Amino acid sequence: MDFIKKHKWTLLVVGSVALIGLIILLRGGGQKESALAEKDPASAMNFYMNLFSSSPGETEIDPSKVGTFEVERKDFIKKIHLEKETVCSGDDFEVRVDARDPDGHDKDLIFKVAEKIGNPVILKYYGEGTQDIVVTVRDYKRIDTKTVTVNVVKCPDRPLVYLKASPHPMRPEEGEFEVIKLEGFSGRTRFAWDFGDGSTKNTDTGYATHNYFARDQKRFHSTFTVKVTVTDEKNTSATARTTIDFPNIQWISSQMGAATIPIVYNRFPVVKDGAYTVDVNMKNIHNESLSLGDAEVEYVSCDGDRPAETRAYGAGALLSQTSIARNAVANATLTLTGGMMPKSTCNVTIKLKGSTQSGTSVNATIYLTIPVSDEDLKLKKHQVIDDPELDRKVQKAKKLLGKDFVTVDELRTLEKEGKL
Amino acid sequence: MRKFYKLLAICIILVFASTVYGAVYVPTRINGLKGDVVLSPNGSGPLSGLFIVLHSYWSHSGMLVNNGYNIRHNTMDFPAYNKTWIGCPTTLKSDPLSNGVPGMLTEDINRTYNVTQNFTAGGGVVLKPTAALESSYRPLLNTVADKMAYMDAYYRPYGYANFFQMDNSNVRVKGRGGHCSGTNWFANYFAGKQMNLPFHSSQTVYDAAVQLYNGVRSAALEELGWCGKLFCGSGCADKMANQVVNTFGFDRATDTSSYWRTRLNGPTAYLTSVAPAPDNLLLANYRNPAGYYPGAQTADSSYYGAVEGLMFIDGYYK
Repeated sequence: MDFIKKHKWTLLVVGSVALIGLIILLRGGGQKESALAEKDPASAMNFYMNLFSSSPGETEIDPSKVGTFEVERKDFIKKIHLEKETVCSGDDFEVRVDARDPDGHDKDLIFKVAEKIGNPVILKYYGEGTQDIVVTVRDYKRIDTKTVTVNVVKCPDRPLVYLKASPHPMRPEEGEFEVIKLEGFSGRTRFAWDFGDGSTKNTDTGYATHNYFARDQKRFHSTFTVKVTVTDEKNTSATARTTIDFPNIQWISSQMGAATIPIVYNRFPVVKDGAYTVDVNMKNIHNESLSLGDAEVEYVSCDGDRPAETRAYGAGALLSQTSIARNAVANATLTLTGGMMPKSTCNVTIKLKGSTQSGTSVNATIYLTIPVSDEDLKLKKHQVIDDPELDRKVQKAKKLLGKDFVTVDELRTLEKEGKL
Repeated sequence: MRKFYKLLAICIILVFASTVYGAVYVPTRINGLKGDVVLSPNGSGPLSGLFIVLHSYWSHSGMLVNNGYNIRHNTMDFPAYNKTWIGCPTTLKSDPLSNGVPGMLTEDINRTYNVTQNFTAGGGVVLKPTAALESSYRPLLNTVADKMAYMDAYYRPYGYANFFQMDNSNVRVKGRGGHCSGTNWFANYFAGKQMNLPFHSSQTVYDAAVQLYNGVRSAALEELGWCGKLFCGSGCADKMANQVVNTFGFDRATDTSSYWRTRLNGPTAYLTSVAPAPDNLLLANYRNPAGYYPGAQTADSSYYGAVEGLMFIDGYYK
């Protein structure tokens, strides 16, 4: 005890040093581990993989057996057409690329101009000075890039239209276009749209949608140039352009051996005299005619506990047209007569099956919604609207449309048009 | 008497509460069933370059946890900034960068496509069993979906480099979690189905990192505004981009240096990865809209043999 009292300061210092040493030692160990992981992350990963592996020490993938390939440079790009070499800040201009695959697989080429996928594309720059535009054309294993330059200059004040294009959030084949800003216009404005596929439309709001399901699908992507011309009360006018690109999912599926038909239809059938009718537009993307032979119809009850009923029909019993010429669009009417529909049906799924002239199987699926009756509402999965603002919009939309229900899409459109 | 008035007031409120809001919403759903995987295409955000390097057309994925009404997925918001005393952004907050929120969440179709826009309809697809295997695989996929619904975790950017850090647990733990397609993979794995994994060479990892760096840097430069540019020039954007890449590669969320540049593909170290991108969940013979065959699956390794274009079964307000 006397020893401790006598050497208490020495012991304190020695103890502290030992404690600090211990901490450094422990931290050093940790650093070694992480340093190992940093220097040899593959080993660290193997360690983690082995935590889950039934046979320790063996990874499931042998990197040396994984096939790799070099991307080859190929002379795809023949010419890059710049609409203007000097452009005003904020003005759009078109870039179009002439490209060809020397081996003849032109449809496999994918285009990227600046940050936009597609060909041609519309670009727009702000500020002043030169802008490099990198053009990339490639396929699975080969690539070509070239750079062109555009000179951006300040221009005198003029009316400007800022147009935004985006894929519709809930309509896979549809584009949504919005004029987000106008400069140099006054009073009421009118909007004339050109959707780039031969369709046009006039609106009194800066919002429009367009369905591109009828496009030809001959390659991975399809690009469209959309134009809007805005005119105000004083006849001041300006045009803006943009491009929108769609991946050709049905064409790719066909390449993969699962041919489907792009199809657009009214998702809520019209009910008249007990029969349900729907306008159906189908596009044959194949280079040969096709015909639909069978239809499998699934009737889903409003009562989630009841199993769905499936019945088979000939396609001709439902559709007014079952044959589609090559690359053509069929405008057909689908009818489910009153006797076909079981009571308390809330959804109908119609699977159409057929084949092309050469025997390739094709199919298309239609999903219909039958608004639930008041008496069946208790059976149907639903949510009570507890947001007074949303409820107000729904009631107003019902009045505007003259219907007792409003679809999500209708509500969205009316909101975008500023009518709610 | 007071009690009577109170009771009367409550009754009046209850009567009005049940009648004021007349509308109901019958929810939208999509053409998938419980256990199907939903893929959403590559946008033009900061991660887009990364997915291009991985030959992935789709950039996000989730799983239907019921017959088409709700998607459960794992995602993260861009983390908040650390700021100077006058409010100029300097670096990214490290904790939400390392342990991303919201992490795993379940959203209804209207919300995820229309409001949060975590998923995009154009180019969207549903991965499901082939028609021939539908009836035999569906019960198994229901188990996978139940597992997905049970699991909860942070979104971990580091999951791209160190894939095996997801737990079969419904409790979030910092430092554990995964990324979007990885979470789908783990739901299958914990339900007894071990799907194939891709192998990304150190060169691919490095290329992806450079794209990620460029994407984040551009996005940060746009976001910083005059304030950030005045105080750091492009320095803050560089730091943020480094932070993000250091987190993806090494979970070094506070590290604003170019640490990653010499450690992904030499000379100091090499980093390979087996983390699946969304397209790696496809069968190996499927050519995606970007023109590649990035699928890592075979008929034996995956329940998902069919790719179907996304379709909506419309909801409505009544």
